[in-house]
Amino acid sequence: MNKRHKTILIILLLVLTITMVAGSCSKDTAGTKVELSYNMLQDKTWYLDYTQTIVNTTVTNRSYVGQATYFITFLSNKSMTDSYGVTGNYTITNTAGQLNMVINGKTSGGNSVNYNYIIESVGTSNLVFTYTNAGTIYKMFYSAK
Amino acid sequence: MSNFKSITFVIILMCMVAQVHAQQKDTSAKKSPFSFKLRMPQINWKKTAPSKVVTNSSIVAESTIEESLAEATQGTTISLMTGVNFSHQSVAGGAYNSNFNYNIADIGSDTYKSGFFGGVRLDSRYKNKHDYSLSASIGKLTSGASYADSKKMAPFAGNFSSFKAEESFILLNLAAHYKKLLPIGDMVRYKFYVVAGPSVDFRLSNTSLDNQVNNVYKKMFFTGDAGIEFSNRKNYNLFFHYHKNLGSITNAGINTGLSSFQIGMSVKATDLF
Repeated sequence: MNKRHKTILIILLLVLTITMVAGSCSKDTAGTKVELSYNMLQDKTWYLDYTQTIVNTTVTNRSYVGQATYFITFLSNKSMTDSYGVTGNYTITNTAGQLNMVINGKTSGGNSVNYNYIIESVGTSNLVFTYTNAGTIYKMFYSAK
Repeated sequence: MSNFKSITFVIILMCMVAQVHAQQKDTSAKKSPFSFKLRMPQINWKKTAPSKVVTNSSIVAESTIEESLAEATQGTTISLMTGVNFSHQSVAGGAYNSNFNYNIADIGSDTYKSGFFGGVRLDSRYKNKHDYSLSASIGKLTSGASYADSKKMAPFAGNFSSFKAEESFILLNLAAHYKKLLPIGDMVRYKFYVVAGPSVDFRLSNTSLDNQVNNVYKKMFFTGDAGIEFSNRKNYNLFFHYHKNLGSITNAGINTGLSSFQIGMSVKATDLF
């Protein structure tokens, strides 16, 4: 192999490397969002600190900080329990960029309960759920402790 | 995957070294067989070209390339370099929204954090006038991050960001620097240069899950470099470089500036092997 061929080979290898770096695969963002949400929520107990009730433009705030308050625990095996004695499982889905959580549980008396929440914002220590009922928007602000 | 990329690059670097080594064998038989210094004769191709017996166009092309290369690489020195870097990101992500929140009190760090790098460097002189250097290096960069914009999540207290800056990267850096000799001290024994030039960084490492959500970080970005260098008879160089990215290293409405300082040393490959 003469020098010219070696030079061409090296240039080709460099181009190949750059192409490989620039074109390396990436995960689909919808799946990644859900995975990250699970990572942030799981194996923590979330305490309800504040609620907001929004009717049209009227916002009513309520604080539970420093009081005995509702809490819910999400585990990494996708099961949950809460302070009302409900046990069950939870699922996070991504629909058109919106994160939703569905909880299917049973009370201690054996009655089925289902919760549907929009995950407005989730972090490692702060969580905001929203749901709408009869035109009223309810926001629940949780913190992990 | 990132390991595979790193190994691929090391193989390419080895190929480059082997290439230079192979060239040296042809041109400097009197020197050490492991010498990397290219001592190719300076040929005025315009004068010598008519005396050659030209048989086909490929030979002409090869000769021209070699002769041009010889002119461009007079007194070329190949060195290995290593050093430490200190990096910092400044983030302005006011236009970015996501479903995720990060408390800035937990993730902000207005400091330069240390990393390291190593690679190959070529120092040469163009047309016996202009000193320059070319380098290829792989480095691990760890950075602190300061956040210019914050969001409120009332009634929660504190400042939040929808974006969490990546803390560390593995980067392949390719740089070309022009070197201007400074008339300081005994220039026979020591030389001081001020250097400047562009470089391009390729991100070899994946980002964390937080930043895969919207593929926030670019895979390639350009930087402008400036610095000073101390050269001891070309046996070794000590250098201090400042790198600042041109544009942003992130997409999606986040403006992220990455600045870093490099303190390093390069040693002639022939002195090491």
